[in-house]
Amino acid sequence: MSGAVYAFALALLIVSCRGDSKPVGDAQRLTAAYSLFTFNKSGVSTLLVANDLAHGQLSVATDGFALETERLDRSIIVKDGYYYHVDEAADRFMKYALTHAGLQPLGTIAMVDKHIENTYWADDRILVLFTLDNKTFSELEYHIIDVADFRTLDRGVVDLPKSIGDYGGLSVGFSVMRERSMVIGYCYGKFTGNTEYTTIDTMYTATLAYPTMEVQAIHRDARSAYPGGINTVQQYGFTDEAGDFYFMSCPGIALGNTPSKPTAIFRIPAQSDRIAPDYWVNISEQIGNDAYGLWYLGHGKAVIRNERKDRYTDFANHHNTYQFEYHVVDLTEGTLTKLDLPFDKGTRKESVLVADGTAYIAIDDATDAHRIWCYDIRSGRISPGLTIEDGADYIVRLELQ
Amino acid sequence: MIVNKQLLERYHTGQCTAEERKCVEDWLDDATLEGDLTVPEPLKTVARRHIWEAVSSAIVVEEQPGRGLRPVRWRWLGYAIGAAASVALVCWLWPPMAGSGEDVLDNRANAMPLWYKQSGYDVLVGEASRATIDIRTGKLEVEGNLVFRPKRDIQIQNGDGMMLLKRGETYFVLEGAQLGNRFIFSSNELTFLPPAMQRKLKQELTI
Repeated sequence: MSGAVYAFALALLIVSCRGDSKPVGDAQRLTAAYSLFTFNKSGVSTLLVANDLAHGQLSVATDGFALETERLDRSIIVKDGYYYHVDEAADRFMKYALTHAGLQPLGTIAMVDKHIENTYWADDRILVLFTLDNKTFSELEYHIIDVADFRTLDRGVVDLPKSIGDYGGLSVGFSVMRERSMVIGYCYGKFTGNTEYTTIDTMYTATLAYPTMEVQAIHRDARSAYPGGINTVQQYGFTDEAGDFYFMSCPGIALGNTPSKPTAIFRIPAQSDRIAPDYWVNISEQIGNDAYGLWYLGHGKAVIRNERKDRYTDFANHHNTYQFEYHVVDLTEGTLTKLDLPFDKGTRKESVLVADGTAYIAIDDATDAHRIWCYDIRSGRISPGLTIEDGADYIVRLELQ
Repeated sequence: MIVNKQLLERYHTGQCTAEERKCVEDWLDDATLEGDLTVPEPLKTVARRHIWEAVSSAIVVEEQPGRGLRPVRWRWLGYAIGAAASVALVCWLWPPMAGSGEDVLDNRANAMPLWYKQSGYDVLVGEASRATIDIRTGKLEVEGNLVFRPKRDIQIQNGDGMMLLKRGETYFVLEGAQLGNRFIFSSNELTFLPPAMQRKLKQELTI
């Protein structure tokens, strides 16, 4: 890069830093109970907020805040009214507040040539990020971030083996805290052709000392492949009332693409750092399909989002085929019950939010309706709720703001 | 240690010592910058011009109305502009001529993606990739991967039917495993691909 380009890039950087430090007062912030993220037919993405998901309608044209799609994709973190995201064009991890003028940057942390694979909130203020480098996809780093001051408290390399045989790039699919350690689930993948990707037929977990992140132990479990997934796009795990952690493996075409292994739910007991060898719920065996996305309903029940392989052809139409179903899983009995909902479209979506005894499920259906469905967990009753109008194509996120 | 241009360049090319790297990252993290950091307008203009000169000297462009032309260097820009103007004039005067003929854009010998500027579209042909395009008949074949940006709405053959590629939108065209099989995704649809594939495409097509 020539000196002049660099000098100007620097000037831009300085100007943008100056802009970033502009304070956003609480009065300017737009806060609500819920946040939604849509991809629209116009090609624009929007953020919307709502206080009621059970009634009414919102328009992406008049209620939505248009996003700079090139810089801000759907892999965002939303907590306590703030939005976080890696701006890969600027090599920065960003913190934003939503105002009536849209997302306003509040702070930046350098994050050069990396992307987030997994996140974990150690508490309301401390966010742990696991990132991979964008060249080899095998240099795993941790970042412990104080989101209130928006600064890095600690960061470093997680010293995992970079490959197993000819499987190279890593995928980190979950991270969960134990008493003095963290457990991460991961796997290795490889390309066998231009568009043919597959994953090693084993799930790995590593126990990391917290907060030094020194690798203490590595375990394997060959019952499935590709544990979890990137949790800034969709949830694949949760901790229940007893502190047990559950996650779902995702060897289906949309993530691991290891057809020899089933999609299944596994448990890491509260006092353990290992996957319980005597527990699993084999999803594929029961429904003959793979699933992506797992959300906890409470009281030993969870909901999964599964594909229907009789409806799509290959990954070219996986996302725009109306094929996705939702099943309730009884984690004790290991049984599945299908929810009576329209087929949904969109590969991997953060489409389920559980709040106040209701599971709100965002569905983009074959009639081109984009609606929140309200599943009353106790009675099992399902009723239509909020609709998103005026050009929404996919509701890719629904979460607490 | 002073953070200067040389240090930043070393940082971005991965040539820093651990101490230098920490120094740069602390500097980048520092949100306490003070003073008037506004860039004066004359400096902006000069910087813009320098950027454009630096960028343009590194660009390889091609205006390729037919088969067999090799990429031409930027120093032939005058000829290229002349050719482009001529093509544009012909297209404007005689619409049925627009985009007629098959363009073979061969980047198989290159380890870098290469932009080709055509009259009806721009295309970034990936490293070791080759495209055969005829927008008149809707032919779009690829060995490897490419990025396709129509300058007007273009109908492309897709399976048994036609697929509309919209003006101004960015499309990713990937060669499939079976002979003649290829996948087309708009830039917004890329997010639905498996993450590893998204990363590979971003890396190969430097997007």
